[in-house]
Order: sequence, then structure tokens, then C-alpha cells
Amino acid sequence: MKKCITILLSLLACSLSCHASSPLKYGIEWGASEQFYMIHNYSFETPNGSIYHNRTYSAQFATNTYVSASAGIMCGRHLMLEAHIGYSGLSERRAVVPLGIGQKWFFRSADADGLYLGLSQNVGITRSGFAENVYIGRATLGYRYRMSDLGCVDFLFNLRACIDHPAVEDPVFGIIPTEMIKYNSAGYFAASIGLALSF
Amino acid sequence: MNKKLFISLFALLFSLSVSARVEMAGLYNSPKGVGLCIVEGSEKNTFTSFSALLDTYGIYGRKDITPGIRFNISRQYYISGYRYGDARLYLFAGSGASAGFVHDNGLLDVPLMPMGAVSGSFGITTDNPRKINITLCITAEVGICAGPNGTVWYMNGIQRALHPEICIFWKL
Repeated sequence: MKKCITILLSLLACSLSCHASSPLKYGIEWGASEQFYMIHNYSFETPNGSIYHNRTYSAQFATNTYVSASAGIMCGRHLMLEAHIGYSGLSERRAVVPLGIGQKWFFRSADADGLYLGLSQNVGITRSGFAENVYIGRATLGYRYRMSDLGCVDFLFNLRACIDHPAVEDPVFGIIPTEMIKYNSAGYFAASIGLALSF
Repeated sequence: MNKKLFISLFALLFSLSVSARVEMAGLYNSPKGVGLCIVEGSEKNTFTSFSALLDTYGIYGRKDITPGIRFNISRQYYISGYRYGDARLYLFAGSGASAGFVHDNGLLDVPLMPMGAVSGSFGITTDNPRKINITLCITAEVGICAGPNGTVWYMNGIQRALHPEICIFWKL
């Protein structure tokens, strides 16, 4: 929590030291997401030595929240490139620290009211670091409302896809031990709404 | 007896908010919870804020926990103001009261417990020329709640005092 407050105060200080027309932009973002679909593709070695492969498609729901901080630079009037880090729930009882880059395209400009589109590509950091190969991609539709010289408020709608490697629980064989698994990959899809402040 | 007292306090705070002359209304965002917040303009250098929020203690990662509900009314006093471009920033501090039905002290598998507390806030708010204002503050609450084993201190009020609260207001 102390780190979170330090980050917030640092962003506020950065925003106050940076004029509205500066190409450097800082932001914080938070919101709630609802996972709605999951594809799980896995194969494992059965007790009799054969390889069993299965792919499941399911509507699986899990509500999560996320928060992130970003720093970006304007490349021209419409395009912004940014780096961000945050904390995000992915599925039930699963959360990662997403670290990545993003691109935003403002239909008017970053300092004016208007719609924008965003894309971001992240790698998920877990308790074991980068070893779990979690990848998160996100598409954003946002509306930017300029408050004053202080900055802007963004109203966001996001679609998120995530690749993760959850425990394999087969409907026939039950929970599969890790050493028996040959391949395991799952895709989660979620929609989210959020708010952001940018300075 | 305790429960009746807490419910009376909750009803009092709620009725005060309903009768408020609303100047701004907005969304309350915090790790503590989410909800609605309104501000009543009053005399010079003060304002009164009302917030009603869903208390999210214990619900992250669990589906079987009912979020609590908490209500707060605070009188805030401006300490100092600064100009930044076409906006103004004000530091403020104030005190108030909270009441609601919450989980606390790690007791998640029991019904929501009535609570009452006095609160103290400190923060910064903006006065923008356009329709949206933002407030960032922290709030500490000292109070009690009626648990299944008797009345206990409301620990979340202190333990989560430093959790930041961001309110995004729309001027009415």
C-alpha cells in the first residue's frame, strides 16, 4: 500500500511538473472486468502410457478488477506510445502483474475531448516471475474528457484476451499431475469497463 | 440494543444525505469499495460530502462473500488553495461519521455486522472550469461493530486508512 501511495504521489508530482502540451503523458487506470469465455487446450500421458488430447470451449465467468499506471510519449498529434505496469485479476483466484507496451490513436488529439482506440501487449508476472509465460492482449475504446490544464478523464471499454496455463482438470481423468502434462494452454476472454486519469 | 443504535445512526446519515442540496455527484473508487458520492455546497471554505459504498473487504477472490454497505457523512474544511493553469487545487481536511453493515476482523463467514465510527479525512480536490472535478483523499475511521461474539473495534477503519480514495464528480 505504501508503494501504491508513493506511485500515486509521484504521478501527481510528474503531472504538475509537466505542461499540458508536453509530449510526455502519465496516467493511472482502474476498472472491473468480467471473463466470459475460455478455451483450454491440453494433452497428457494417461496411466496406460497413451497420449490423451482434449480441447474444451466453455462460457466461464469470473469477475475481477485491475489497476495500472502508465507513462507515454506522443508521436505526432494522434499517436501515443506508452509503457505500463499494473495488477490485474485474470480468472478465478488468479492475478498477475501485467507489464507491457501500448499504442493509442486519438481521433482528435490527446489533449482534447474525443474518442480513441488503444491496443496493448503485456507479459504477466506471477510469483515465479516470467516463467509461467502469461500473455495478455487488450483492445480499448475510450472517450477522453479534458477537465482542465491538470489533465483528462477517460471512460473506457476494453476487450481482453489472455493466454495462461492453468491446472488441467479433465472431465474423465480428473486433476492431472504436472509431470504427466505434455501440453497445456488456455485462452481467457474478458470485457471490462474502467476509468483513467491522464496528466 | 447495539444493532438498533447502529441502524438508527445509519438511518440518520441516510436522511441527511437525501435532504442535501447537491452541488456535485460522482463515483467513489477505492480498494475499500465502490459507490456513489455527493457533495453539498455550504458556507465559504467548507463543504459536506456524503458517500454510500459497497464495502469490498474480503470479496476479492471469493464468490460467496456478500459485500458490506457503508455510509459516511463528513464536513470538510479547505486548508489552502493553489492555482494550476485554468484549474485550482485545494487541500482539505475534515471529520464525520460512518455507519453500515460490514465484514471485519477476518470474520467473513458470518452475517454482515452493524458498525458505527467517527471518521477523519485528508485530501486534495480540484476545481476545474469544466464539468468534472476530482478528489483524492484518505480516510481513517475509529469505531465499533457488533460481531457474533460481542462488540469489537472496527479494525478496517484503521488498517485501511491509507487506502487512497478517488472520487470523480460531475458538477450539477
